[in-house]
Amino acid sequence: MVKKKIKKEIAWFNYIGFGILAICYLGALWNVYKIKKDEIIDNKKVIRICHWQLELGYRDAMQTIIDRFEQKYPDVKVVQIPISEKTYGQWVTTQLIGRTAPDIIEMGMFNVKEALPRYFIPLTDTLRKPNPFNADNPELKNVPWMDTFNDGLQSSYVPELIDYYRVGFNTFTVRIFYNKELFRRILKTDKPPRNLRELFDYCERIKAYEQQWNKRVADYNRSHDLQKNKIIVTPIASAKYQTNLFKSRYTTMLTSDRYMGLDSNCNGTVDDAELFAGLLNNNLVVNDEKYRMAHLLQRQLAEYFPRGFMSLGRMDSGFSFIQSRAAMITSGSWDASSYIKQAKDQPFGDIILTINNRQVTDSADAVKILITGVTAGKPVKLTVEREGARKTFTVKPLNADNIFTAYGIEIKDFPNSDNKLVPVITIVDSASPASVAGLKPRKCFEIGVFDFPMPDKSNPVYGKYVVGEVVELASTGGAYGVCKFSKNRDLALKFLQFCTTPENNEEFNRICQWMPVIKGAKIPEALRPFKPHAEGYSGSLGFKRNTRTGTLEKQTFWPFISGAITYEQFAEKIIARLPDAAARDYDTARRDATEQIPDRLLRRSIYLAQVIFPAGNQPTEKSLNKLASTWDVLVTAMTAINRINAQIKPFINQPEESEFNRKFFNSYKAIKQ
Amino acid sequence: MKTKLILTTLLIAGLSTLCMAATATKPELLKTAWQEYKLGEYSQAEKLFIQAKKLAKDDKSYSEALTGIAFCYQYAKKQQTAVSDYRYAIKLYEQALKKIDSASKYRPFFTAMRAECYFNIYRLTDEKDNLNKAVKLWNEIQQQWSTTVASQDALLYQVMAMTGDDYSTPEALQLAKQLERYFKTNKIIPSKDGKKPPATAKKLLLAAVMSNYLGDFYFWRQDYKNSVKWLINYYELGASSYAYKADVLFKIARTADVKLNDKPLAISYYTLFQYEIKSDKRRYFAQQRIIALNKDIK
Repeated sequence: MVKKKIKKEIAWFNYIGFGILAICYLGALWNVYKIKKDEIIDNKKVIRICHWQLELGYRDAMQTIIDRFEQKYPDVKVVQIPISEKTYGQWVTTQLIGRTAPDIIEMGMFNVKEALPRYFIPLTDTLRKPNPFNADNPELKNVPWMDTFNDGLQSSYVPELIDYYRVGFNTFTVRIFYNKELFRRILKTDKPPRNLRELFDYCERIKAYEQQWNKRVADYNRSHDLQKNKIIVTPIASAKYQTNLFKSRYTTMLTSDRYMGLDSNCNGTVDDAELFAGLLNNNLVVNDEKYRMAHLLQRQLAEYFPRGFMSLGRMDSGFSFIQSRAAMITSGSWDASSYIKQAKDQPFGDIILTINNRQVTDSADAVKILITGVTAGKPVKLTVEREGARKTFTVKPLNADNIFTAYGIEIKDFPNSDNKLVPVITIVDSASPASVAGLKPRKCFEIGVFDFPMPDKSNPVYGKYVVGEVVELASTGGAYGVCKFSKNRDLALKFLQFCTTPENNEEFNRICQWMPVIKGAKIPEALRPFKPHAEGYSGSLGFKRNTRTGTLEKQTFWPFISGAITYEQFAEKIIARLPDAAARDYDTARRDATEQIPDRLLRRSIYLAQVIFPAGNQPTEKSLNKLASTWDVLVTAMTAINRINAQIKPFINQPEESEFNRKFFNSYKAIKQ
Repeated sequence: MKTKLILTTLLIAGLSTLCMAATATKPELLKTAWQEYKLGEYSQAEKLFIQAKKLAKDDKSYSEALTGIAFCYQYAKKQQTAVSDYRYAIKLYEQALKKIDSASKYRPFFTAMRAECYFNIYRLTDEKDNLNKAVKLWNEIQQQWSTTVASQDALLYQVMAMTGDDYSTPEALQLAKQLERYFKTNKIIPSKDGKKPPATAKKLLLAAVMSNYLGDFYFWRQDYKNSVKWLINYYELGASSYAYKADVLFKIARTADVKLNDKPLAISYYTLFQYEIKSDKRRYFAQQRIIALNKDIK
């Protein structure tokens, strides 16, 4: 009997494992059903689009356009697959190799160049025809799809593959964000600086404000048990990331003409050979006056960065700005909506409703009543609204004739959610009666945006070195390609065309607060300051070309910009090490010039075969054009070494021309041995 | 009985599959082979080309399949291509030449490929005999089939390969002149009556590329006048992409500006650059140069 009971229990026990397996299996089936329901049950055509843009608003923007598309095509389902930036590259690569990739893929975070010919379809033919969704647009209906983009989609052209593979939805520029509240409080204005001199003036005043405040705190703390806290208000929040943005902008502003002076092949850009030739013919020297002034400008800017900014991360500086511990920060339009929202979401601050049960109308009224309270010498009862809830605090003011000394607060009027002006506590001094009572200040603030202020011509230090504004090409970014394995390629292309009409592109960017790329699509109001300026100069003077000179630049620039070494010490280090670094990079440039040739010849063989052995009787115009295009690229590749030699050869025969030349050629000789 | 039925069914199914595979159309096989070649799957491509060659029933399929196999040796190995690979490719091309008709349109192509392989053997071994063979074949192509696509392709390759890495030698100049003769011989440069052949003529296919090369060649020999002449030709014959068009227009303008001090020509091409190139970081610079040069002229 006992044996039977045990047997029964054991039998039941066995079924538990089976039960768990069954549940998991059903769960998996349910997941598959959810994913495949549209295709199998509802018989819809499904296209999947993946991206890594988890920024605020992007997914909503994408979903809005998806909803519009599905409304137009009820038999279609578009599934958005957002993947974290950290794993996106790996995920996409695995999916591509496994041939299970989504139909539309955002290009980036993986080896795009290698993946393009293997896994993506070229879009050139479709791009050369008008976008069918512009049929009702009299200006764009006959315009090739590629020409409806502000930059003609030139940033998407892949010269090695002679094709276009991607279309994008947004473009980006870089500006300086500022905290309008801090500006009003410290500078008594919320207008941005008009030029560099004004920017430095603002920075000095912000620094002075912090110093004065903290001096007052230090003086107070010497004679009080309850200690006040020092404040941190840095003029410009910065880490290495932001420093590079400033560097790029200001170096171009000051040295673009010198850059063009190195353009020995007259094509408007400076390549490796031209840079090395510039060094060898003394056209480019470390002590170049403009190069020096550009660096001194950056050094001066860096004095307004937080201490230890070199070790800060990009997120640290952003956080510091949002917390009102810095008045300004530079970043791209991609951060605009995040910053604006985060600044807005900071605590509104305590709204004063009544003081000693007396209704308060505005900040002036509140101040008047509070000063009366001080005169009376009695504790004051404040009823405030804090994040929608009413709270009451009792404050014991000190004997003073101003509200800040007496209570440790500042009050100003701000519009509430009903757009009615209400008195809000904007400052609560630490270790003050208000702080002890538990009052909280306003943390949210309005953000303003301005362009990098240029030194004006009358600037006594930098004015004479300025070339002009920096050009910003509205290159199409956030680009997507269509996967070769897609079962609904035409539909995927259709979706991309739908997304890139002026109306949809405008709406997309209105929601995610990024900048549109289609002609006729309006820039969101808040992003107007980010509008790219088409007029300006490009190119900046520098010694960085490849690995060695790049490393040299890193090793010298950062100690200089952080103030650890002077410009003279910076220049000395470069002068000492540049010949060897340049010689090594020159060797790399020579090798790179020839290494690409076999690959280009291989490309040419593909199109040559298409022309010689066409599918029909004659080669198509497309294959003929492709062969000609391949040859253009091949000529550039096969003659790269010729151009290098043409520029450097004159110096090979005169190695003793200068100290730099001597060291350069000695290093090069040593490398080749 | 049941077992026998199953086995028979399986056998028939298997044989049918084999037959279907065997009768796979040659165009599809070659198409697939080229797709594999394009994707970098050269071993697979070679197998398919070999299969296609066996099944080929006409000159075109045979030639194409043979070319595919040869390309897998001549180009696919890139920097690792050995002398033996080139020799094998030559053997395949000679095989093709033996099979095809003497008037076949593929003759210039196979001749050009042989020449290219001989040149590469010379490049790797320094054996002058291979160079001579290459030159002889290239001359043959230009004499017999000068305006075909294959001959233009061959001429371009010959000039650049034999010029080597130095534009300044007399040999390089001679080769450039050979390229220039192509234009004269085929009347691509406008004659005195200003007539040009129609743009769709196949003899123009690589003429723009040749002009681009000559523009670059003369520039680095400091013959800026000639350089600008050929770059203008390149622009007029048609650069292959927007980026190349932007580059050539800017280069003509800037060369005229800084090297030739030809202000009217510089203004003309800076203006054309502004007009034709709507999105380029050099636009503002060009605009400022137009203003400055106009001031100078006044």
